Amino acid sequence: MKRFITKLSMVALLASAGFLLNSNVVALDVKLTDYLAYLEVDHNGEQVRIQRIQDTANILQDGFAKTSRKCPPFCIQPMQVAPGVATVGEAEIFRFMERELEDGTGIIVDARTPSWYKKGTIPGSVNIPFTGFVGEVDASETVKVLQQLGGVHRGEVSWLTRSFEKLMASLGLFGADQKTDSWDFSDAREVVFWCNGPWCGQSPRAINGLLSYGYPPEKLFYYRGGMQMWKVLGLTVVVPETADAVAMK
Amino acid sequence: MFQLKIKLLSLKRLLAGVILSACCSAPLFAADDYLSALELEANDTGAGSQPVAATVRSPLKKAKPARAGKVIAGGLSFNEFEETLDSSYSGSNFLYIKLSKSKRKSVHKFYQNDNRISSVREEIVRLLSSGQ
Repeated sequence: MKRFITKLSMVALLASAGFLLNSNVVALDVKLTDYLAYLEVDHNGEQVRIQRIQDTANILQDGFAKTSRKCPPFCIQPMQVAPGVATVGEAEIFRFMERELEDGTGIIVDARTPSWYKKGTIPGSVNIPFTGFVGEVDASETVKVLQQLGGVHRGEVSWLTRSFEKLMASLGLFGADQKTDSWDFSDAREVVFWCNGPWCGQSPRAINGLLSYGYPPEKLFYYRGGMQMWKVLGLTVVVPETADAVAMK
Repeated sequence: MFQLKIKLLSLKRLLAGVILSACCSAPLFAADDYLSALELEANDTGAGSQPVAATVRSPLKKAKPARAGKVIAGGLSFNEFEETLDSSYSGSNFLYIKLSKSKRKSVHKFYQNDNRISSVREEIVRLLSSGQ
């Protein structure tokens, strides 16, 4: 019996030693998700690692710790910004970075004005301020932005063609619902829009502007948490060297 | 008395005008107002001293997610790191000992950010092949 207890103690000792050893082997104690320690994305030609601040005692101290801003204009946004546009969280952003951003079929847009952007942005994002999505559909600024997102400007389309397309669109055939009078969004990229957080209206404005141009809603995603949640989670932020140089690239 | 009535009437009209204009303008937050409010708020929301997570900037190579794998124990001092390499990772250590002291320190620094043995080995090989 005594021998059995001794053996049992030895096993327990080994198990606890193993546990201690195991708890020490993971480099990052604060991982992104349970399966992902960190992520690397291309940001303006450089590889940037996205990870969380490892100091578990860290507390947010910058302007994003602020609780109250005047409403209007800084009002709390709804969870669903527009019909057909999915709202996403950080885990979905990571997956988007791994897949769509990596293979070029997707783009992450920081829809804030340059004065916000230059304070820091989410790695892998491109700055296209929401003001670029509020002009006329054929304005040069709008054309530039829509082309950047993969839209193709159609020019003159005959009445007959458009009537046929509208008919096909109503039947859900030939991807005709991806076309408007002046734009073809068949090969347009999937876009994640974000701004300062749940109290920020810049990305909702950009999304609604883009929808008004006929951009397919299923290709749009709204990261409602934005910079606020990104910072609360201690995720990596990059500060652009020159905001103007990076914006609109 | 009549003059007083007229004055009161004009005062009422003025007041009504002011209220009416205020009512009409209040719900509308013009685009210009929104932009100037954004600018003001941007100045008020400083970046502060919030530390950012460590970033690794290097020439572009194919991005890949990092998953927990075979790793060296975390938080080792330089000497402990060398001892661990020597005792547990002889293959990597064989290459590591060919590095100069400064490069070894640089490997240790690298390990502090990424302690996967595969990454550390890659860094050792990279430093070796850089001819230093």
